[in-house]
Amino acid sequence: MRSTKSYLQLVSVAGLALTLLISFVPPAISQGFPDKAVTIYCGYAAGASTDVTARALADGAEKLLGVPVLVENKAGGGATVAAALVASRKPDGYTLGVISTGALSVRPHLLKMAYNPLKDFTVIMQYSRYIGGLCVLSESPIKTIDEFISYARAHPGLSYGSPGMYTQQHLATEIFKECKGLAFKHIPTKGGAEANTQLLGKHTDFVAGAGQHITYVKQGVFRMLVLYNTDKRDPNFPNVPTLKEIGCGDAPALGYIVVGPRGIPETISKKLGETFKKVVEGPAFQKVLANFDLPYDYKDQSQMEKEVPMEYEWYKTFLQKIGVKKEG
Amino acid sequence: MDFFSNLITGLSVTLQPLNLTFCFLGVFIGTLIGVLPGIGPVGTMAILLPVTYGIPPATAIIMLAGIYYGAQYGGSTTSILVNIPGEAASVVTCLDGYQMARQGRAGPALGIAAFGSFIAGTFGVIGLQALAPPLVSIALRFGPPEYFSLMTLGFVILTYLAQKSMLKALMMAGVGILLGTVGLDTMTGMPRFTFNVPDLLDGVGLAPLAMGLFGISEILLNVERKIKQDLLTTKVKGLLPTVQDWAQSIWPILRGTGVGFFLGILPGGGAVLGSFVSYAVEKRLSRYPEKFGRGAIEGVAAPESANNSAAQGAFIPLLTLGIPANVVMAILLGALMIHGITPGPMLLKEHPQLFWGVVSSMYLGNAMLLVLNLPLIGLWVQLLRVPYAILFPLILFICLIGSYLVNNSVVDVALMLFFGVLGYLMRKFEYEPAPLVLAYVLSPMLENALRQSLILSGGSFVIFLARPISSGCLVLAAVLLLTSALPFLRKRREKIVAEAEEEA
Repeated sequence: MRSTKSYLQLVSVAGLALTLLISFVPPAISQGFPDKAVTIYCGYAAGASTDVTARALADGAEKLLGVPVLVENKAGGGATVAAALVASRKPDGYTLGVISTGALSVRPHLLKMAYNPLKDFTVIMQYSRYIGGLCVLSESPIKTIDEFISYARAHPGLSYGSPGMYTQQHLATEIFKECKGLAFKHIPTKGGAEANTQLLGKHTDFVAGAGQHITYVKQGVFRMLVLYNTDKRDPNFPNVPTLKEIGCGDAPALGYIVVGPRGIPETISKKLGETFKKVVEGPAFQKVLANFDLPYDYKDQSQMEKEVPMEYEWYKTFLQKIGVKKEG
Repeated sequence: MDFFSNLITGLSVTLQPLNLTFCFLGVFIGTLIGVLPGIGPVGTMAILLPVTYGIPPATAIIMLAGIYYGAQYGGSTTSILVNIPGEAASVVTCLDGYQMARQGRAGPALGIAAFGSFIAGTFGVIGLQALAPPLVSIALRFGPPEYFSLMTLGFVILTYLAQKSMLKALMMAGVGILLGTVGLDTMTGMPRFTFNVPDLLDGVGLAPLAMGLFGISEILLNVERKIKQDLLTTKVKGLLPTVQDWAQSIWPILRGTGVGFFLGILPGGGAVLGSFVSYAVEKRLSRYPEKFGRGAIEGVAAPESANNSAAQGAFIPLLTLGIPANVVMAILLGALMIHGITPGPMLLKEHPQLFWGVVSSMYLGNAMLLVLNLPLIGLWVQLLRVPYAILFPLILFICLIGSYLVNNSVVDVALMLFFGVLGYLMRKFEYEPAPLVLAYVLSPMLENALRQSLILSGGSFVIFLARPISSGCLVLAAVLLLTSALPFLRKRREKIVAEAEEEA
């Protein structure tokens, strides 16, 4: 009995020591990245445009990288939950996130984040932009943005729904309002769908469309009067001007980006960047973008390194100007 | 005539072998995940979304739809057997279903749930097919003021859920209201009560809340007592509902169908609301309201029917206007767009095959589900014979995993356990969880609707009375409140009169 007991003790101590030893051996930097599955955390719920495009990206990347690329949804707080998660992980290239740049350039001005938006991330690339547009019901007699401005001057207090407080579409409308000296009632909602539904039900006068509005415009239910968050006209709607064209400023569009934690080795981030670039240039991904009416707007890592701080500063200045204070 | 020709068009799509297979696959998976607490149709559809890329769009939607309404069938199973809601909409089924199981009547409970679900689902599809356009235009008339008034009505109805002390039930409703405020406030964009925990930015999840308050607390309560596994010894009295059960249940089923269907159409309404409201309505209309909460079969029939017809009703705004009525519909919207189909008013005109194919697949799906679920009843009842020493840890394990899978968040697991302990304490002191859950569901909608309405009206409260639907709901709420208070007031009057006479 005693010898068995001491034998067991010896084995367990040896096993423990071995385990401890192994955990201290630095992980060999494998020459072949990747050699196991990559996880992409998507900052939005399943079925949303970010989710679908992230899955298309993962699908294409899987074929090129030869390892499983899994998408997990981690929705919440405008992609900040996913961003916080990614920022806290090891920068080995196996944990990435697909989020909106808003998690880095807008949200941190509103509340305290668990991450430093400018320092805690490696932004690998951007593949598209969120869009916006001011729409009225097609049955409305207002046909152009100029008619709208006259009407709004004659009837101050028109109501509109936005996809949320401080979204690019809300802010664009506010800029438009200030620029033309109008007065609106802003109804923040939980998302584009709710805002569109309110317009459909004629509970509001117009909507700051956030993407889904394009479907209604195409089907002749909405009429888009001006484009938000962009410098270029939409080729599908050549007659619709942009906010800049009618003499106003605009809120910069947030981007769909792929991020990793800060400190991903350059070889790995370069490889990921190139892989994703090939995927988004491919016909399958372009088709997904077209189905969701999203513009193709590719920017690589070096471009994003300039873009994100610029966006951050713009929103910081603007939000301060309209008197938004940071919470927490 | 149109009705039948559309049906034929639809059936010509649905009866293709591929679509039949995927329909069955969908409802089967749906039932399974409905049974498993925590993971629900949302998570499953998310996981299976990539599977749909390679198949034709109609097939994809048929399968995904099947998962959704299939889950409403399975959700009642664990609610009845072990007091754990498999689905948020099955919370109410716990109240009477579990009591029926403890009385040895798990079989009839499961049976009436299955039959009720089938009847409601089928009527729901008929409603979808025949009444979609007029119904959706009614649904569109619900703007912020109407939602506020409807939610107010919902709060009045909440009082009918109270079984014992009304005061305690209202206190729990108050707690529910507070819990509903946790998260990012829509109107200001600022977080409330999130304590810097990012996972709370979207609020406390309904799944961890319900699983904790009902399921975990039940386990804790049972573990505390020394139970002779009395379910072994109680003879399981028959596996199917008796004629009397049917007689009692048929009207609740029909009423539940109606209530659930309409609430399902309203964006933001849905199966959860429908199940609570139908339960409360049955209790109000019943001649023996005391039976509710003690194993009244109406308390199972009505909510189970409501959540199924709500699931069918939720398709209406999506298929007719491209509006997702709830999170599940949003996923379906995404699935349609992935296939290059834009849902909206033109969907019917541009893709009639898809539209009617999906609709008629629901008839078949409901029938398949009935055939699937009935024989399983015998199997589920056997589950109750598993010794508690094995059953409870197993349930706990499944709940822990299930609550994590909702949003891949450990915070949800912790919340579930917290609410489990809270629920245990609540039940020891006879505070009811059901009013808390309903208040928690209603309060964010009520608050947002109130604030949005006041912005629209420029601060005036007249808006709620100036619009017909809104004032109608408020009047109804007032009437219901008064009629509840009347017996109480009458007794007070009688008491005062009697005392006055004594003194005279």
